[in-house]
Order: sequence, then C-alpha cells, then structure tokens
Amino acid sequence: MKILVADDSKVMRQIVIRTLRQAGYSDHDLVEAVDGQDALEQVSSEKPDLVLSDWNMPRMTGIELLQALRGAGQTMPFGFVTSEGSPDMRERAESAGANFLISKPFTPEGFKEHLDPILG
Amino acid sequence: MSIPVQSDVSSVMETPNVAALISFEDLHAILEQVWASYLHSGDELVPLAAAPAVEQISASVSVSGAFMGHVVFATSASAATQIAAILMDLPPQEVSEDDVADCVGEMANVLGGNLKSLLPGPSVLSLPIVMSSNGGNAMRWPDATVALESELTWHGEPISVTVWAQIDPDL
Repeated sequence: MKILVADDSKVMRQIVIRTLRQAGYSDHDLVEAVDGQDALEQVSSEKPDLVLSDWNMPRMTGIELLQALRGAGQTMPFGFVTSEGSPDMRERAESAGANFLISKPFTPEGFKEHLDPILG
Repeated sequence: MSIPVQSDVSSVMETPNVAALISFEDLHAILEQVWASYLHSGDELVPLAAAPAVEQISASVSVSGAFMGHVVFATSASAATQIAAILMDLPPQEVSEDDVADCVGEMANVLGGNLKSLLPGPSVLSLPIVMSSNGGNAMRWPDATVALESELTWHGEPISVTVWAQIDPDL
C-alpha cells in the first residue's frame, strides 16, 4: 500500500513518517507532498491508497485538497493530521469526505487506532 | 512532568476575556502534551518570573475570526536547536537554520491549533511566522524567501521594505 503524506513543514512530514514506522506501517510505500497542490498532482501520478494531510498549507489547504479530490471522483481514504482538532473542524472534515482527523500532538497509538481499520 | 501554575503573569491576566477562556492549567496541559509527544522529554518545564536576556527565536500564528489574536512560542537559539535536533532525530550540529525555523514554526502551529480550539469560533489559524534576534533577516516565513528588499534612512534612522515570496516547490 502507498501512503501520501502532505505537509508544508519538512520536519512534520518526517515526524509523521517516523510515527507511521513506530505504529508498525514500515512496509508501506511513503511519498511526500509539500502542500495541497503538490498532493493533488501526486495523487494523479502516484495513485496512493491513503492520503494523510495537514490542514493549513500554502497554495492549497488540506480541506481544498480533499474537496478537489472528492470533486474529481477520487474515493481513496483521506485523513487529516492537524493541530486543529475542534469539533467544528472535525465536522467540516467529515462533511467534506474525510475518514478521520488525527490532532497534533499525536502518538503511534493514535495512528494505529485510525489507520488499522484502513490498512489492516 | 509537572508544571507549577504561575499566578503573576500580568500580560495574560490583564486580558480578562482570554483568561476566562484559557487557564494557565489549560496552557500548561497543552505544553506538556506537546513536550511529551514530540520531545520525549522527562525534563521539567519550569516557569520563570522573567525571561532571561538571551538570543531568542520565536514563532507566531494568528487567529482570525470570532477571536482575533496571536499565539507566540519563543525560546533561546540553543533550545531551538536542541528541539530541532530531537524532532529531526539529528545531532544538533547537523541541524540547519532552516530546520530550526521550521521546527519553531511547527511548535507555534501545534500550540496555536490547540489553543484555538478553546477560543470562540469560527476562526482561521494562519501559517507561522518565525522571528529571530540574531540579525540578518530576523523575521521569516516558512517556505518563503526575500524577493525584494529596500533599505533606506530617514533622518538618520533605518527604514526597510521587504517583499517575501512563497518558494515554488516545482522549481
């Protein structure tokens, strides 16, 4: 399985990838996108099985990315990894078609809870 | 890790709306979570009555909407490098200035996002701005670079105008 990690912070992409490894997902292919626009382009070229995306990013935000993907008929699982975990943001994420929202700071256990049902 | 509650920080206590919405316990609980999760640190965060005069790096995010304000994370250049080294799993000497700015910006983003959830909404969180007191381009935006800069004087005092442009990741 291939996981696309979208975050404008290089450090945060590294932390997400390290946490994925710690959560036991070392065997999956990991690709990185530097913002929502890059992620949208990489979804076409890389065809990931899961997208993990930050919310606040330059050029295209995570919610705009999700809306663009769902608008184009892309149905792959999509989860936010964001510092904003308020009920309002969770509702916006869900209504736009997100499968889950992991709030920062996160733990490997939090990743497993949301990713195991999707990645097995 | 335990953080004693400090009662004499006037800058927050003078703003009753914020003090009513976010307690020091809330703020410290969020800080503890971030430290435990990202820095795996057993070291105690100990409140100070006054910040020591050291070279500082800080990052801010703004909250705009039903609540208008800014969340600022600040630390010494040395601590910022140590934080970046832990976050990036690198020896401190291998951490670049850009890495440090990225890490400090991310700390502000995480703290700002968590604090925003305690404030009245709806509101929008900005991208972080990182500032350092070590001269040069003291203020910087992550993933942006100086595109145009003009430095002048007016009655012998410095004036400058700087235009920052987002770095195009495709280049």
